[in-house]
Amino acid sequence: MVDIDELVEHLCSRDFNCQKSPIDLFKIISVKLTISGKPIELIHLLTDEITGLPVFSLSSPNDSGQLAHVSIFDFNGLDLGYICVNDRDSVSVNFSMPLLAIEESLRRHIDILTKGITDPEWNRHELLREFSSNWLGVCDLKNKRMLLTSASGKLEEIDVLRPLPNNNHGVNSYHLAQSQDSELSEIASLYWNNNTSKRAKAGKAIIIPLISVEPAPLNKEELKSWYLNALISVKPENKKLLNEQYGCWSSREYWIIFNVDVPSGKTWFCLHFQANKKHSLPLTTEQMKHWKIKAIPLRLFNKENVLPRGGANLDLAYRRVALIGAGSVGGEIAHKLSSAGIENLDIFDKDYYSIDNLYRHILPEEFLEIPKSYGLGFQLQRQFLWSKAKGIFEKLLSLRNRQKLMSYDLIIIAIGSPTHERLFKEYLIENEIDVPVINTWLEGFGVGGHATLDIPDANGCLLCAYVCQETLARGLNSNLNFIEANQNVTINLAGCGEQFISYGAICSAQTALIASDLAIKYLEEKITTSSKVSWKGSDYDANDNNIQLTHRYHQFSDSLQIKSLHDEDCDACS
Amino acid sequence: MSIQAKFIKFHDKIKLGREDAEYKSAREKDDSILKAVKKALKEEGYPVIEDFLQGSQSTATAVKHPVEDFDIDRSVVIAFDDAPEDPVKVKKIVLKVLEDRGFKNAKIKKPCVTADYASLSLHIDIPLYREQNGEYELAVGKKNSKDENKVWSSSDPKGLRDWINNKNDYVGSAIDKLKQYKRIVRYLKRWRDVKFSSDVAKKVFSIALTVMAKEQFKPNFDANGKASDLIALRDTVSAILNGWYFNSQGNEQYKVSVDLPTSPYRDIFDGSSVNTGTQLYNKLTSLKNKLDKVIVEDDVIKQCKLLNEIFGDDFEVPSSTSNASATAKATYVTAGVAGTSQGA
Repeated sequence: MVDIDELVEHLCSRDFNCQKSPIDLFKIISVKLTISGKPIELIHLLTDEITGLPVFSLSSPNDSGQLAHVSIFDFNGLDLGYICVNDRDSVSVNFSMPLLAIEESLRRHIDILTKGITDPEWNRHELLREFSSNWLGVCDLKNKRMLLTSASGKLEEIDVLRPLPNNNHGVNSYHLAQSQDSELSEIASLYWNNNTSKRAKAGKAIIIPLISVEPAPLNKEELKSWYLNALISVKPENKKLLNEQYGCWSSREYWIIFNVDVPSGKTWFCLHFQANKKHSLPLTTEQMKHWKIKAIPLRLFNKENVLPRGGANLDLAYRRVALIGAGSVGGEIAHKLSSAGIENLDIFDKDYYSIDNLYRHILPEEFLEIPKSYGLGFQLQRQFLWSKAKGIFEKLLSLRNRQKLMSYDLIIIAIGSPTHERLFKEYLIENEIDVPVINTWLEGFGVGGHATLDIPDANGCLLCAYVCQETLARGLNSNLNFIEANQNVTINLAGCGEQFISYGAICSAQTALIASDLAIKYLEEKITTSSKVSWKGSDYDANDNNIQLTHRYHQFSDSLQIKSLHDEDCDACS
Repeated sequence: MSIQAKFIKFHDKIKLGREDAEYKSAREKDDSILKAVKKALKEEGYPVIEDFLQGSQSTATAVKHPVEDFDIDRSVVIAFDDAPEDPVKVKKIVLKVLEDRGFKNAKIKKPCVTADYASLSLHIDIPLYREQNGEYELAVGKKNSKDENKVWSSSDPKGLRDWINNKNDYVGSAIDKLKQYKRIVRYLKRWRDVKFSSDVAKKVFSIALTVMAKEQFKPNFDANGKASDLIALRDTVSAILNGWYFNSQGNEQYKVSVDLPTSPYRDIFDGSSVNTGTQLYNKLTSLKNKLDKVIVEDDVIKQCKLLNEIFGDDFEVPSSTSNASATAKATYVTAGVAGTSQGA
């Protein structure tokens, strides 16, 4: 811990009015200053170790009015203002020079206070932008949280279902308010128990859109007046509906869920009303007398809220993708495409999930003995709650149906079978089916994996990746391969029918990543030409097994880089 | 269509393999002669225990000559214990077979029995060996040689073939690099047959071009593994010129010397004239300079015109750059099935 006297001396030498606490027991310093004529005192409690940006708290925060990035908390009966100096994890602190770290932190705290005090317009803008965080400051965190599935935010009255008894985590531990416009997957609905036969009905919630909003109240005592004031910002037609329809139902509990646009986007927040007797929804000061009011944490669960937070793209929801192959690579691709926001994913495979698959496949053992495609469809709907992924018990060559294929925006083939893939490509050419296709495969011994994107009418096609580099005719193995053809690359532990190519889950995942990246970039229109991409691994295992590698392997230094697929000697492209 | 595709097309035109249609008759004759030779030797108490091809047919470096005959180098091996003291004795048996079958110019040369087929452009050389525990001895001696010149001479008939076929020094796609080397040899042979007068061309021995190209081979493949025979040929020729084979005799005259890499390690050009060495040096230099020009030329048709000047009319000049190569689909003809490393 830094020596307190040394710290005080240091800050004083930097022209700060700094003092240490008169009580030696508390390693506290105070820094007094004036901002726009307002006296300000900042308090810093010395810590044993500096592990992040040193914290200064605002003394008597209520005296400074409502300041952006300042939230009030109770410290041993004393109100202090916590100052949010951007994300504390986004700075790298010089813990070897604690005096400098504390001084720099102090300056940052003062800067943000100065901005809030001297620029009221910025201060209000920031308070609204951070409405959601500030609202948490007046929330009763002991209350069961509310989970709302609403997409539009329009005026709506919905049932609130209680948490399932003895559930302390997961969605079943939330109060659940499910909007009519929710599009949760069937599997998700099953797990959420979102009906009154599974959960007790707790009361009514009313979703109310606001035209505008004032900054969140500073303390819980202001909630009633703040609420009544907020009702002024309800559109007249909605207010009429509230008076005449939604608020008429008498209940002991009501939840009001507001939504409003603030500078950081649409924000949602919830008030809980409780009364001893049944009353209609309080809309006036007089009606409020019957009710206790609490702000409670609300977790919104709609696509617009959840998907972008995870890096998914809402625009991909309506693209239709066929994935052929639900093996270790296909499974990972299905997962990555779903996590990117693709909802309409048809997964084709005719293989069953077996114990042999467990250590390189994403499915858990509960799916053993059922078709991999079904298992994946189920699992994806379970995790990605708007997914419409479905498994289909068919293989690539049985998909040679023009009408069916033309219904997709993209076809991804992850079966590792050059024979079937070339046959399928010839079918596409002969039938002039102009759906883009990604082919992806990996090679054994961890040497690498590949993906090609074949966009019809663009330069480059799958067969470019099969131009034999010796004869320049169509080859039987891809010219992207890192392992020379005609070697025994399989391992046989249990006799005929039990051979397998040696690779692990990491190789599957790496390969799936390059293929998924290619798919998403294509669907987002960031790639418009036929492309190829490879990743190169080490050659340790290949060398140990006397596997000969290709010239391309030895020369390759473009891992993960997307390159043109076109080969000028490809007869199909020419 | 790339310039490499033009090279492959050229190569397909000049290469002479045992399975080629042009070679069909020669192969049938070879098979037939071999059968007769085996029968005759067996009847005389010298059963053939092994036979194999030697020369360019055994290393897949044979080319069609624009005007001259096909060659067959068919080695015949008898057991050491069966072999007569006089090696010419077995050579005479082979000579008789050839004579009885109506060959022209059948004769016993020092290292082999040789003849020309009467009605086909076919020349045949049959060296005879005896073998014991993997060691070979060549039947040396002519029909009327003195006894001291009729010997079983220690030999390594397969060593040179194995040396040419060795690919252990190539890192990555070794087979493809060996194949590129062999194409380079064929290009050099065709270049020789086109650029030298018939008399001099015979003295620029195929085996010398093969050995120099092997020793100086500079494989060239782009990052995707596609071969560039043009650059590989230029680089190999450049390395041959700098490879200590040419000894200056003053006045821009050269003698050429290339040692066999295997037993008996003799100079292939032993006794060769300054004229041969000088012509070879100058024409290789000219070849290298022309290949440099081809490399910097962007237009495929212009490249082909320059290459046509080097290799003759078998290197075709397309009428336009639009795709002459788009041969019908699925023209992979060298394998019905290929093992793959692909999985998912």
